[in-house]
Amino acid sequence: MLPELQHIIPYIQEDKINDVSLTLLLELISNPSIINESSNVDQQILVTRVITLLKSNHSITRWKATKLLTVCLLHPVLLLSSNTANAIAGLVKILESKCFIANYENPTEKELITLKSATECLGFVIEKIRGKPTLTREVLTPKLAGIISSLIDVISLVPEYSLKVLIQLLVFNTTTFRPFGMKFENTLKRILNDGENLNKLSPELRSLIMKSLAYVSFILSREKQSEAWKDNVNNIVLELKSVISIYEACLELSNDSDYIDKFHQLPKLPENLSSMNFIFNTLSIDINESPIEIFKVSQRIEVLTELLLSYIEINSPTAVSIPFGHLILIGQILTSFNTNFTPVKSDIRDISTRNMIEKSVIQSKLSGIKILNSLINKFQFEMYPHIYKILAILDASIPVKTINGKIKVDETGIYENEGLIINILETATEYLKICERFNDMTILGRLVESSLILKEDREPNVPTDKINTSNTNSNSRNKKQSKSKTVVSLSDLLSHKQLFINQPNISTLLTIRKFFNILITKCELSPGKISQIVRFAILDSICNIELINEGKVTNENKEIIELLESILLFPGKSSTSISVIPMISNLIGSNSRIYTLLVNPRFPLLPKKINDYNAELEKEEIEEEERLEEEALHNGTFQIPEFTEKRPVEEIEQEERENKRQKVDNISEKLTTEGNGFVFNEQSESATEALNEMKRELEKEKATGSSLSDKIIESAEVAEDNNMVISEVDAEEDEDDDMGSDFEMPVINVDDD
Amino acid sequence: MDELVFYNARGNPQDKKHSTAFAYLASLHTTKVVHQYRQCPSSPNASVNVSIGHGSHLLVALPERPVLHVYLYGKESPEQIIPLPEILTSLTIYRDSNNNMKGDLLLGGSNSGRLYIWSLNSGLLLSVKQAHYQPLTHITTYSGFIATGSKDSRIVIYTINSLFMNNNENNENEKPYAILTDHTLEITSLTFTKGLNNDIKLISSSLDSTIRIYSLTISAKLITTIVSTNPITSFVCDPAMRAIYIGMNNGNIRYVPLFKINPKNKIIESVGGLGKIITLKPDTELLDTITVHAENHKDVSDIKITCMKLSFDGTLLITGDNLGSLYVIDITTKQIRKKMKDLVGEICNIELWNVKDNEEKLNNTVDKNLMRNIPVLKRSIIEGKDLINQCLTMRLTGDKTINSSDWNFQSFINNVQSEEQIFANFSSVDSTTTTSSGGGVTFNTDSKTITDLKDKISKKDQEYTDLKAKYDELLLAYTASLK
Repeated sequence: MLPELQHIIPYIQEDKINDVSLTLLLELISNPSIINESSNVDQQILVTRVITLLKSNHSITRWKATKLLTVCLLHPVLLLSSNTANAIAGLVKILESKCFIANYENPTEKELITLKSATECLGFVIEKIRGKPTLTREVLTPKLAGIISSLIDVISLVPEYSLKVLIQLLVFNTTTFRPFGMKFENTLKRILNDGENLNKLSPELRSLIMKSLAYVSFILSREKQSEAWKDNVNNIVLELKSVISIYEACLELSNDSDYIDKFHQLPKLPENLSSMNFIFNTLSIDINESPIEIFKVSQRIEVLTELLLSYIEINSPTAVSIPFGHLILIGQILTSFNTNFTPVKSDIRDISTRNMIEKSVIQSKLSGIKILNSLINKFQFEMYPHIYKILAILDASIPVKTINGKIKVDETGIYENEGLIINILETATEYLKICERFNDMTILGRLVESSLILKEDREPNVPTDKINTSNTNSNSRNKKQSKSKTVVSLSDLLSHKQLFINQPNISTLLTIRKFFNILITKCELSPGKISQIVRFAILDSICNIELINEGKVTNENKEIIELLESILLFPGKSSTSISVIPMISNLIGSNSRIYTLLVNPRFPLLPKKINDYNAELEKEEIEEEERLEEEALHNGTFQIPEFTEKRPVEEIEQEERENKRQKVDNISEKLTTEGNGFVFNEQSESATEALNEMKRELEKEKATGSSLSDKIIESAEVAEDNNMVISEVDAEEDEDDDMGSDFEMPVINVDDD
Repeated sequence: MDELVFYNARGNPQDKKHSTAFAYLASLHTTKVVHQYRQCPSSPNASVNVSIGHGSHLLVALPERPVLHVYLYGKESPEQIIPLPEILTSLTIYRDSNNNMKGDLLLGGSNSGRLYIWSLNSGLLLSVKQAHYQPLTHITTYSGFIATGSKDSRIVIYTINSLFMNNNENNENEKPYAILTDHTLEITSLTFTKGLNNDIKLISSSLDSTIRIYSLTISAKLITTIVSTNPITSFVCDPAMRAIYIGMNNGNIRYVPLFKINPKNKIIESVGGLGKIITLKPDTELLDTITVHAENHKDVSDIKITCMKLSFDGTLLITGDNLGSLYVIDITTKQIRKKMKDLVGEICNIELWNVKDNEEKLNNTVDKNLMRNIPVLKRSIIEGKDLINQCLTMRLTGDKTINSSDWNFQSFINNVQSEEQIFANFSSVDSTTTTSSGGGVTFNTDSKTITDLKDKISKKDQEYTDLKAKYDELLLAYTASLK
């Protein structure tokens, strides 16, 4: 029996509300029957009291009121009452007062929570009202202007929550929003502060701000929103182009014909740059004064990239024309920045400045990779004509060094730029995902190698030589002292080296596993590479044997198991001498569905046509059962053969004749993939059970001397006559007899050569 | 759930205005006709719905003219008429295997044997291949493969890789993945089986009375040939690959099981494989034959099954013939479940779409922001410059921030509790400060007042000590006087 609303209401007031747990109140009020069975008066009192609470002087009471209001408005009865408008007014009032936060430097948490809750509640109410015509007309629309302006006011205090509501209002209530567009845009830009604040924002908030900026820039125009969208995107492309060109001053880009080609294929910058209305203020950089200012360039590129990408992530109200080619070009230009090929200009001598520039270039490169990554996620098949080039660029981004005239992947470079490499691998994974049987290893080689390097443990890198050389110059006493210090600090390193070895962290391993999984499933790799990957997969799973948990899939081991299963399903073209199936069986066999289907293949349950033969099957089953039971009686064991494998002799022979090579090992695998090499009894369990039962009955019948069993056999014989009208003619000269025999082992001619 | 059947026909060649050529979108299980299209004659296998419902497009390549009709869902007559480089004899969309409502590449096979590939969102002609010597009859795609069948009896298989992802700029020299020349007459239908990329099989039918199954595991290899009694005009596979239903040029449909009982050892085994040839015996007792079409057109001698589809559960056959009749046949009983509205000319396309009951997007709603047209398909192949200036025209969707949030009471309560923690006071000290205004004493905490007060206090102190000293003095004097 549920308590009635009138007993709950007394607690909904300022001095009583703290007597009851809020959770309890919320749960009670959320119950539809409590509300619906109460009188109309009580319902009104409830809402009115909640609204009164909204006006309280205490933050906690107001906060509780917002929560109560949310739950109240779950009920259509209460939502449709005239009080909803007052409730909205109450919420707006909380926002307008900003909870009396006077000090923006150090707002108190309680007030912030109250504001946040009020914003969320407002968003909830608006969402509930949206789409209901009368409610929208009578309640929401008159209040909308107030709601929007109050929400814009609290952006600086609770940006995440107010922006979520504002974006929805922007998209669904565009007309009412129009007068506030300018204010909204300025507020957002103030938060970004020309991108200086970008790194102070959480990724979620960043994307919200960027999306809001994108929406507000075109959705408010009265006509031709799609034109406005396109103009804005083109402007950002131009702005990015102008920022990128700054690097021309410090890198030897003029020698890079590829860069120059691509750069000039972007839309032309106007003669007079000041006529452009750029979103952000112009940069002023003087690397001679302070070299660190070069990072302003990469930061600006980052902001612009994020803004650009938010334009394609938002929903456009109409069809828009996306300058797809230019987006890809920008991504390619940024990603192909590589100080190995286009070094810092030689007239910049200061080493620290040179290093700063190189680091800044790497950051811009990350922005480029981000563009490429989100393009593939968004446009997939449209990327086909570009995949090759992009993968080549990604591959070329892996740091290399020349050893004895051979170009090799630079290990230290990879460890130093682990973040970059991980991003590259993730992006390459996305691109390979839409490929099938990708076989051009020339543009994957370094990617694979770098991932194989990243999976290794990292040994501590202590510059011992430097310490020694610096010591030789100092005087003897100092030398002694410092040596003893060094010895103390290094002694652990020498004696317990294993304690200093860093293992690749979990997210790195995750990326590598995903990358390998894609390589195995989507690419045709060389046998060497496959075995390297298989080796990694097996070793990795053995290291994480506890995590694997016998193949039971959890969130932590999902990728490991997926990789193992992919190895099962994609054994590769060439024959390997050792099969990994036993190992994988030991690792995940007991729980992996794919493994069990692979070693116990079965045919689909057949349609009705085959049911005609059930009687025949039954007869055969009965005989089989009898035989087995006799056996079981003798041996004390009972075994049912699951299936028998039948290998096509003629194909094996033919192939061997062709290849003159021994390929025994992989034949069974090949056949598995071709799917037609197996023959086995159709033994669905239920059928077996039914047959068992029938058999027992039969025996009973026999015992009683009834003629029913004869009848069954008779009907089975009738069914047998109803044969299939299919005959088989073998293409090969081999006779049909082979096909018929059960439990047959393949006759394999092993040539002596 | 309901299934929608889209079907159209070739129309009457004499009817230049196509006034008799209709197409229908009708429910398979109810009597409802969801939508009707006019002026919709199509070449065989040359119509394709990009997706279904509100805002989707239907593309139809006309049989006699190099023209593509584009229909907007909800409108009966063509919304857009796009001129094509040639008459297209087959048309399909390369669909994402994860999302069959989405497709970005349009593939068309032409009268002269060329294969055209357009980007649907930009209209750019990405690639043209001289695949065949005669008109293409069917194009099918799956998981990176594109297979084309033609009247020249060949099947050509391309991979997406070879079409786009080549190193050199001009891709003229790229060879197809495989060219299959086993058939001796026109290819009538092609299908890829579903599954992992390395398990894919291609099934083809031809007027030479054979069905051929190729494995694409390592390279294209013929694994089974099924020889029928009559030329095969169409076929359809059971979704679970248990059987093939073949439509023949005598109006009969033959059921070919892909698993059978071995008469010698009574074990079920799969039919074919390893290059075997299966010859179907004439089915004189009609045990495996569905004769619905022939029975319904007894007076007509030349009757062919031109199109076939299987329903979602694999129990209903939807078959169309060259006389424009379309039947829904129950496979178990071999009886007609339903007869769809007749069309003029041979049935050329049947598509099946699964939809939810009363799906909102199937209703015609007015939306002025709808993308009515698709970009015009270009007639000349792209160059590097075109690719750089490529503009995609599409409506962007998928922003999660403006989708209505999934409100759930339990997570709301959890959120409330975590927020309440901030208001809670877990220590035993109640340090609530009550500020009362009005009646209470007000303090002026100016530094000046404080110094003033301090001065006052020190003065008073001084006075007090003076007074005390005087008092002591007097007390001393008094006690002295007493003595």
